[in-house]
Amino acid sequence: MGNAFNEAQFLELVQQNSGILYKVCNAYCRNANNRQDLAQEIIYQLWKSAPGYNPQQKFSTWMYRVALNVAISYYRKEKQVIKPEKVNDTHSMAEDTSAHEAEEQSRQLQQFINGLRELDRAIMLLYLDAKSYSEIAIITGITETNVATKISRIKNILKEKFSAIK
Amino acid sequence: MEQSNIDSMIQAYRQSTGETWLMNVMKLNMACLETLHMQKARRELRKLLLPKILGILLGVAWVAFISIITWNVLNYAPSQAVFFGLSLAGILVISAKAVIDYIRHTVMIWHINNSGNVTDVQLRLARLRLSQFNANRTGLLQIPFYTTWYLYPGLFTDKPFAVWAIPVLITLLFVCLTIYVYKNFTPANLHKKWVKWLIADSSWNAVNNALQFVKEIDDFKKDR
Repeated sequence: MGNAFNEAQFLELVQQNSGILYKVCNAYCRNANNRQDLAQEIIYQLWKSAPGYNPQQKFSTWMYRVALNVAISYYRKEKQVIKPEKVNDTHSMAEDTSAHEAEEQSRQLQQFINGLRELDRAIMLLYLDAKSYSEIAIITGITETNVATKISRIKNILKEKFSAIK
Repeated sequence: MEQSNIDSMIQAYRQSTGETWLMNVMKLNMACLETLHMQKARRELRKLLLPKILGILLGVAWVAFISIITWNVLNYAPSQAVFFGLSLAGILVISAKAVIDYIRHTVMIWHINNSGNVTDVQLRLARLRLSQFNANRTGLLQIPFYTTWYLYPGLFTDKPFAVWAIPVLITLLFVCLTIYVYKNFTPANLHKKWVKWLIADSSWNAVNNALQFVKEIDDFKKDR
């Protein structure tokens, strides 16, 4: 196999970018056992697709493409209907410490992302990972303008959702 | 909600990047992953692939069986059994095409390149699943040939009009019915009761999901 890197280099690169695995698996799989399974599947598919990796491309961009494709296919195959969990609206966030509040907000944001449709979820994951619009466009295959429109729309929905529970 | 609150929420999310389960996966080396994948592949083979492989084997066996009979009929009794031979040849061509398409699509799905951009790869996968439905649909075209195999040349020359008119009418009826069903038995008509009735529940769900996803991706790709 004419890989651009050997096994050790590959594992190191995956390790350096493990945040991608964590976020993609969390977004497309709620069950902890399935998440491990999905992460293994993504790593395996990355290794299988490695001969096609172009070193001029950023590793994280390529990794995102493979991870999202595997996760979406996995999600659709397993027919895991991830319904957004109802956000606890009786919970007063004002009573919490700021650290707890940040954690709670992060959890709520994760729930919100899990409630999006597969492709919107991919856009939001990339946006939250501070990817540029052009990089998001390369990974998802849509135009930068379209990326900007979608992110703005998703953020508006997010704002409305969180305003509603306050 | 204030914009600053949304931004702080996004910031908090960006900082959360570690969990034990992921660390466990990362500790695995490639050898372990290959082993785990082989185990998973074996499970999948039993659960999902075996019915597909069985279907393909049955399809190939059927095509082989029809080929042998057709070859024998057309070689040893071409004039007496012309209708029988041609009917079998029609069934053979259509069955062979359906089986080849089915194998091709299954292999293509198995070997899809995940390195492509998300919308293209997912669109290709969903369209391939719809093509599998269309490959099965091709099989319908063989139905009229089952109404012609018992005809023979003497029927039209030696028998009265009423005797051969009835089978010819039946064949015409089946031809019209098959054309209608073939034209309308499409993913776009999945909501119709008779289409749903013709396919199993599990297949219907798979095709319907693929169809919805194709629409969703097409919509997603539009600049608006």
